[in-house]
Amino acid sequence: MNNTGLMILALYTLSLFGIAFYASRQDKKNIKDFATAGSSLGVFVLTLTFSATYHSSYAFLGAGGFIYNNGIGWWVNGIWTVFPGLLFWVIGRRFWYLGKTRGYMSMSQYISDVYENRTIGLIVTIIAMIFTVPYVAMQAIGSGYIFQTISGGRLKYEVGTIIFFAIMIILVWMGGMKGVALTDAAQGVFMWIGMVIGSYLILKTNFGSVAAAYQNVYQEVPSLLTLPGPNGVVTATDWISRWTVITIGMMMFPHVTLRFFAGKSLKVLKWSSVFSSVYLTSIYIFLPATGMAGNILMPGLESPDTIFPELLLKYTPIVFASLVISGALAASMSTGDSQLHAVSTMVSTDIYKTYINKSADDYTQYKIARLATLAFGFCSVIVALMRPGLISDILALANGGVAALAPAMLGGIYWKKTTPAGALSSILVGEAVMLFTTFVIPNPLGLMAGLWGLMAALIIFIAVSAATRPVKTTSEVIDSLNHFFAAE
Amino acid sequence: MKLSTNEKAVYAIFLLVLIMVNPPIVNIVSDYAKTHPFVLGWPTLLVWLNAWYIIALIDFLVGVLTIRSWKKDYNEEGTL
Repeated sequence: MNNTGLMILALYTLSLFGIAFYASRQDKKNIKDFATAGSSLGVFVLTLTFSATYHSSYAFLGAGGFIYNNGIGWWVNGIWTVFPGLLFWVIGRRFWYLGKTRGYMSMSQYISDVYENRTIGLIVTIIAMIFTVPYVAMQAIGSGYIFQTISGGRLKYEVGTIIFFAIMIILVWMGGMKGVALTDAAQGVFMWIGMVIGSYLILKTNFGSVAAAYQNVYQEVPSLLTLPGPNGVVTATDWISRWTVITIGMMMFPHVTLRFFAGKSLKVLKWSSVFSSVYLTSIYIFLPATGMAGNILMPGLESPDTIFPELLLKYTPIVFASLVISGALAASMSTGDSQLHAVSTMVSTDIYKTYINKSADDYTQYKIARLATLAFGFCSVIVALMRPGLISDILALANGGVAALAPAMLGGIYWKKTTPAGALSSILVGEAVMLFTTFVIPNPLGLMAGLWGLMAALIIFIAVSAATRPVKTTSEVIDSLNHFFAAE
Repeated sequence: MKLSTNEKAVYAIFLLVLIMVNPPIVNIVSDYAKTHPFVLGWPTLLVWLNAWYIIALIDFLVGVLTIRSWKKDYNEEGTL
C-alpha cells in the first residue's frame, strides 16, 4: 500500500474522531445518554448503527472465504440479512416500549424486573459479558489481518490490533452511544460502498459482467453453484444450524439489544428496521459472484479469508482500494466499538449500580462506564494478541452462548405462564448443553452446538415453567404490551 | 394477543419464505440446478433464493404500510 493509501486511511480515522468529538459536545454526561443516547436516534443513524453493528469483520473476511471454498451455500445468509430487520421491529418495539414505560436501559434490568429475580439478571449480565469480550477481540483479530494483508506484511498484526483498539476506545470514551452511533453511520456508508462497488468493479474488470462471472465459474467449478458445494460442507443440518443460531443469537447480544432502546420513537424504530433489512441484504449483492470467481482469479489460496481484500488490491485503483479497505476496517470497528460500549454500560448499570453503589447518581455511573471502556479495551487487546483460534469458531461459540438466553428473554414479553424457575433453569441448562456439544461431543448429528443449546433451553423453559408458578410482574408487563400493541 | 388479519397474513408469508429457502425444498431446487444451472443467465439456486428474499422484503414493507397496530406511536402521555 503506497503513501496515498495510508493518507486516505489516516484521513478516514481523523474524520471518525471529528464525528466522535461532535457527539461528545452534545453529551449530557449521564448514563442514559452514554447507554442509549437518551433514546434520541433518528431513522438514518439508527438504521446504519444497527446494520453496521450487525455486520462485523466477517463481512469482509469470513464471508468471501466461505464462498471461495463452498460456493452458493453461503447465501443461506440471506435469511439472517433479511430477517434481523423484522426481528428488530417485532421484538425491539416491545423492549422500546418497556424502556419508555418502565425505564429499562439494559436487558439485565428488564429480566431482573420481569421475573422479580436479580440473580437471573446477574447471570444474564455475566453470560453476555463472557461471550461479548472474545467477540470484541475477534474484530481486532480481523483488523490485524487486514492491516497485515494490505501492507504486504510491513505492518505487523500486533501493531494493527493495537491501533485498532486505541481508535475504538477513544470513540467510545468520547461520545458514548451517540458517538458510536454517529461514527457507525459514517462507517456503514463506507462498508456499503466497499462491498457493493468494490465487488462489482472486480467482476466488471475481469469478466465484463456479473452474469458472465457466474458462467465462467460454472465452466471451472460447477459444484460451486449447487449444494452441498465442492467440499460437501453445506448440508441440511449445517444450513439450518447456521441461520437459526446466528439470527437468534445476534438479536440477544447486548450491543444489539441496547439499540432497541435507542430510537427516538416507534416510527423511527419501524422504518430503521425496514431500511436495515434492505441495507443488510443489498450489501452482499455481488459478493457470491466475487467469492466464487476468486477460484478462477486466485486459485489455491492458502488463506481464503483474505480473498476479497486481495482481489480489491489487485484489480481496483489504489485510491478506491484504500477507501474500500477503510470500509473493511469500518466493518470491524463499528461492531467492536458497539460491543465495547455495551459491555461498559453493563458494568455500570447492571453491576456497579445494582450491587456495588446503589445510590450512585447518573454522573458517577457515566464515569464508571467510561473507566470500564478502558479496562475492557485493555483486556480485549490482550485476548486479541493471543490470537485465540479461528474467526468462525469464535463467532459460532459466542452466538451459541447468547442464543441460549433467547427463551428466557423472549418469554418475559410474550408468555404469561413463564416463571423465574423456568427462565433460570433454561439459561443454565442451555449454556451447559451448548458447552458440552462444543467441547465434549462436538456438533452431534451435524447440528451446531448453539442449536443444541437453544433447543435444550427452550424445552427446559417450557417444562419448568409449566410446573412452577409465575410472578405478578410478568403478567403486568405482558398485559401492558398486549394492550398497547393490540389490533384495533 | 389478538392479531389483525393483515398481520397474520404478513407473518404467514414470512413463514412461507422460511420454508421455501430451507431443506428439503432448497435441496430439491439445488438438484434441479444440477441439470438446469442457469435461469435467464443467472444461477438457478441464486435466483430462487433471491426471489424469496425479495418477497420477504416486500412483505415487510407491505406490513409496515398496512398494519394499523404497527403504526402506533407513543409519547410520555400514551398513544399518539
